[in-house]
Amino acid sequence: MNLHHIGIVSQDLETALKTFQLDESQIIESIIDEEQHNELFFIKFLDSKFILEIVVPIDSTSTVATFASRQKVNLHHLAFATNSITYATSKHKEINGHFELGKYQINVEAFGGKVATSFIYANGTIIEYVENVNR
Amino acid sequence: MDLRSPIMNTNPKYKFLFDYFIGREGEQILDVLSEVDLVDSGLLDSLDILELASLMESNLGIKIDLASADVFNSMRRLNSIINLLEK
Repeated sequence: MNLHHIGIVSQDLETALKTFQLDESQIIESIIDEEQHNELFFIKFLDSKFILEIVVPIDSTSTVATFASRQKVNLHHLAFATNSITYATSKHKEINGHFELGKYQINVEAFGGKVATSFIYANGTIIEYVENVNR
Repeated sequence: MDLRSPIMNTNPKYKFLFDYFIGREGEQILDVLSEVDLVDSGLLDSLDILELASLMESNLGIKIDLASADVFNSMRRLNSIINLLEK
């Protein structure tokens, strides 16, 4: 299993760009996630395959609205690539303090197309599993 | 419900629960804790519910099915949280 991306939640894009000294030109893709009520911005770094995801809530029903309201801008999740989110998430179900927050599907070109995702709350840390479903 | 009664505070599960809220809000929270909706009153938000449930699982060795809407809603009231602890 490999690290896939890091997710930042920010109350707005400008705050995230300023906090991490990023330039808007580094955004390679932006998406409205209508299921989770968020706008997603994907940042690519020179000479690196690493992608940073900036998640900005669209409204108060956003899945990250509370986090953004409380933190303004902060690390939200670590995402790992997996061949099976079902298997990856099942490992957490037996661990006390770990909860599955939700499963989603979304098309993100920066991630190679359509991906299935699952979010786990693990004793205060949020983990996302990402499975490419184009294969 | 007298949350300061010896019976309440000798039960380790209840004590853990009360200590969580006392740590956040101070001792006076016990005056209202059993009477309010914890979310509507601003004592807990959705992230706090996750944190509290996670701490309950880790410290008390119980499983809480937060995927169940009924269980999630049970986290809004002290009495219903206590019921979860007793299951």
